[in-house]
Amino acid sequence: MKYSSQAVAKLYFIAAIGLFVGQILFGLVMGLQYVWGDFLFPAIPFNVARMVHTNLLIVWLLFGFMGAAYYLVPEEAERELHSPFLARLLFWVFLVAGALTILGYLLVPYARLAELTMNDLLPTMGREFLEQPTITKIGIVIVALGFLYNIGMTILAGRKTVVNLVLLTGLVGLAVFFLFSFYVPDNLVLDKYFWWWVVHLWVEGVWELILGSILAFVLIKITGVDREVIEKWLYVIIAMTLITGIIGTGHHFYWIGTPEYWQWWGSVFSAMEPIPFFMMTVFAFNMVNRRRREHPNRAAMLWALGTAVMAFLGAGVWGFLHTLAPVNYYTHGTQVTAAHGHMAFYGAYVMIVLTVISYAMPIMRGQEASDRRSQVMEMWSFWLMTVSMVFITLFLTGAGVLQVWMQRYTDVPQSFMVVQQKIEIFYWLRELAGLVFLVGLVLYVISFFVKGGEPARAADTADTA
Amino acid sequence: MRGKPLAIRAEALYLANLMIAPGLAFLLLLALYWKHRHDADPLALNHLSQTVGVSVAGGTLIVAVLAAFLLAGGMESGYTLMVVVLYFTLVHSSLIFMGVFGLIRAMAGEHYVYPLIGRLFRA
Ligand code: HEM
Ligand code: HEM
Ligand SMILES: [Fe+2]
Repeated sequence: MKYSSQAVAKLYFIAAIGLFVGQILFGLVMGLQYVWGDFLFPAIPFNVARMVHTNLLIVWLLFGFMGAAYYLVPEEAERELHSPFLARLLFWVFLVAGALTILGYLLVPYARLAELTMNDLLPTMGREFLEQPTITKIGIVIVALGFLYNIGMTILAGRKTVVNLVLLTGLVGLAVFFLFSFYVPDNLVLDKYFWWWVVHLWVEGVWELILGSILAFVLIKITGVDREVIEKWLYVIIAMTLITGIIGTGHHFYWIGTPEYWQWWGSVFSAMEPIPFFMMTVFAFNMVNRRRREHPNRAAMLWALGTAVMAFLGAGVWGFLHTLAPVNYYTHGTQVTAAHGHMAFYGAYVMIVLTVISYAMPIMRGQEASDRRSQVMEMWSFWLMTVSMVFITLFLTGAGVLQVWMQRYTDVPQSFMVVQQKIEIFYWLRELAGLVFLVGLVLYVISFFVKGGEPARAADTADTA
Repeated sequence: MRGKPLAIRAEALYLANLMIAPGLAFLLLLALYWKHRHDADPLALNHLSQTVGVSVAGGTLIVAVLAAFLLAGGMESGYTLMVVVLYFTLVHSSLIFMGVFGLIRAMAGEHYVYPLIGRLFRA
């Protein structure tokens, strides 16, 4: 580690992984409720579990992004973080606010939570992914502002690299688009319309900049390829992201009461959204193929390549699958959507956070890479989680296609619940794959916390030198 | 055009055929192969024959197996559609990833043999 203040990232990474475990446990609870309707009833209703699952996901990814920024911004800027104290303070604020919010979901009925937190003063609750009480949302904004100030000052005072500037742009965008979560028009069409300005413009816009810059940073470090080469790729990737992703928002405006021209704009532009993800794949493999050094951290390289592949599959391929209006007409809001949502979130954002953790954590512990045993364990967890996520996606896609057919496509459509009953087997299989995912995650946690032994040296792990 | 640039162009057309210009890019690839089949150097010939061969074999694999599914399962079944969607998605994206590796090898000036089906063509 070049600068001691980078170490604040550790806190963020540890919290991220803790919350990740929580997210998956609630996913498993819901997966079981899909096939065993009153499992844990009335203690944890499905809608509550769903809220906890998705909110924990978002919150731990934000912890991961912030940790990544605190780690890489000082290193790129070549100076200490502007205020490590502020970073630590905001960490605790965010963690406590997040924990209270989750406890609120679990312990009081949602309507009561709305009352308790005085939602009627500025009503923002009740929308998917943005269920947080208004007061929590305000807390998020404050944390985000403090965070942006901190890394912004660091960047301003230091070396300005492309990686840092793209990352900063992405993070500012993240904060700016979050502001739309405060805007809840009464008109349901407008409500949905602007809801997507948060959700879509995050994952298919500004978060992609964050993804690209973190990937670029890790690739610079582990491949030793010239920064100039990597920066050029990064430029083209983010340009394509914004060119396709912004108007691509239209793929959510097909059937919500917005003008019909969105069916064309949305289809055409979102059909090109896989391009930046495809370029990331070529980019990552190309840089690794041209590497100038054998970095001892093989696990980090595996995560980086895995991110590129899985993001392209989940976002690119599975996104394209249902993005054209005539297809989306049938698949909208089915299990096809859930299949895509899982693989895209995992492949792009979960994996990039695990990539930077894998790279940075050993260094913050004073080693270049962790010892070989724990790397092997980490790579096992990579394969277990990734392969089981592929299976979760395949089972949900299978369920989704059948659902589309029986419920929407045939001449004699059947009702929602009748169809759900008929595709139950896929939900069992999904739950099974989810359990394997959990095994992988447990291995990951073990490899994360149980370190020790001799640090790996380049000669130990390099097999292709 | 020879060597690396030609090899890169072959791989790029192979990928374009799978992603942005199905059919058209394949015709261009065929034309490129035809034009350079005698004067290309070993690197370019390797990439040209691999991409043409795998495009043909992969395309056949997709079409033939899909036809078999449709014949076996009938058009009037959700299960047929499910198998068709899953099969197509898996084979198609595998062909894309192989193309990515091919492209990267071409960019590095290295030979490449596609997994499994590539063995039938010039190494
Ligand atoms: C990493 C990037 C991405 C992530 C994390 C992601 C995630 C998601 C999620 C969670 C949903 C469900 C939203 C909801 O209704 O609750 C969704 C919907 C959708 N996504 Fe993505 N996505 C990504 C990229 C893409 C791309 C590149 C495309 C197109 C090529 C795409 C196409 C769609 C479409 C069409 C829908 C609407 C599905 C429906 O009508 O039900 N996504 N995405
Ligand atoms: C890192 C891994 C995971 C990620 C990134 C993730 C992400 C998500 C997202 C984005 C949604 C909302 C989907 C949508 O709106 O279409 C969701 C819902 C859900 N997830 Fe996960 N999830 C993960 C793991 C799991 C696991 C392991 C299970 C269970 C086996 C699971 C079960 C569910 C269920 C049942 C839903 C609710 C779907 C519905 O509303 O019908 N998830 N998850
Ligand atoms: Fe979208």
